[in-house]
Amino acid sequence: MRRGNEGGETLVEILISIVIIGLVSGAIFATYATSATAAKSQRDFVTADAELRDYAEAIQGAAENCTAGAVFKVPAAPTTPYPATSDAPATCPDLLTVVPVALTVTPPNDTPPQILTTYVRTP
Amino acid sequence: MKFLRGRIQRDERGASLILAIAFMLVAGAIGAGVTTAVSSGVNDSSTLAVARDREYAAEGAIDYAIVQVRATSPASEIGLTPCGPFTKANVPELGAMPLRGSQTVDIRVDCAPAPELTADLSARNNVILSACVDTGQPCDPAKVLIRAQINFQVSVSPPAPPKVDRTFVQTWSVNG
Repeated sequence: MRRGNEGGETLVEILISIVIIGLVSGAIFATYATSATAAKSQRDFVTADAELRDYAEAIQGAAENCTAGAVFKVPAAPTTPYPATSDAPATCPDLLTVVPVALTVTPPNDTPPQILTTYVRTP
Repeated sequence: MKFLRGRIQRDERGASLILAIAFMLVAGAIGAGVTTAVSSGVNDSSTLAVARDREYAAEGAIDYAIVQVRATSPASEIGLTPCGPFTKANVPELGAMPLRGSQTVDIRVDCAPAPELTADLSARNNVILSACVDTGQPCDPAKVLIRAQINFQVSVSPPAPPKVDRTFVQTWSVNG
């Protein structure tokens, strides 16, 4: 049997506990959701970055076979889901010119585009 | 029995609250750990991306330096006489080379002749180019981003002056 002044104490404690546990659980789920979103965004970033560097290496490799003034055979750009573009010149640069080439890869899921500048030169 | 029930009820007062607070602390610590790990991973990959972009900038700077050597030195003297250094002061393109986002970097390229005698005792026109972040001082060997030995293939067909036909990258080392 309870004494009069103890009546309802446990109920109040349980209610407070439920509120606290609810808040903490909500925070945990929010953290998890944020982490999952960040991880996905990170995965897109890393994949786009790898695509970008592969494309840059392919363009530099193509420049190795350049003859000044000849058609610059730009390698095929990666496509969906990580489409890439470049502003590579149409012809190989002359012997005393270095041409900066901006490469852009656009990842899916609204991840910002990745841009890399590489340089081509006729050997 | 009545005495025992009263003791248990008095001892249980506040137990749920303590458990809930303990749960809150543990869950908070786990959440903070997860958040820290994720943000650390994101920061690390951004830092790595910028470091790689710096290598591409250094690579471009080496290309600009090769073109400068080709353009400014008499072909027969390349690799036999002093060359460089190349900085944004004499090659504007080496200033504010683009990195990830809006960041930029100034690159310096030091140039050293590295002549090499062939079997018939003619000299090969080689130079060693070292690219680093420009600090206004010669490149510290420990901070060189890329070091490359370049061969300038010079053809001589009198009466025309010697000219560089093609350049060859003989060695290329990246120091990240």
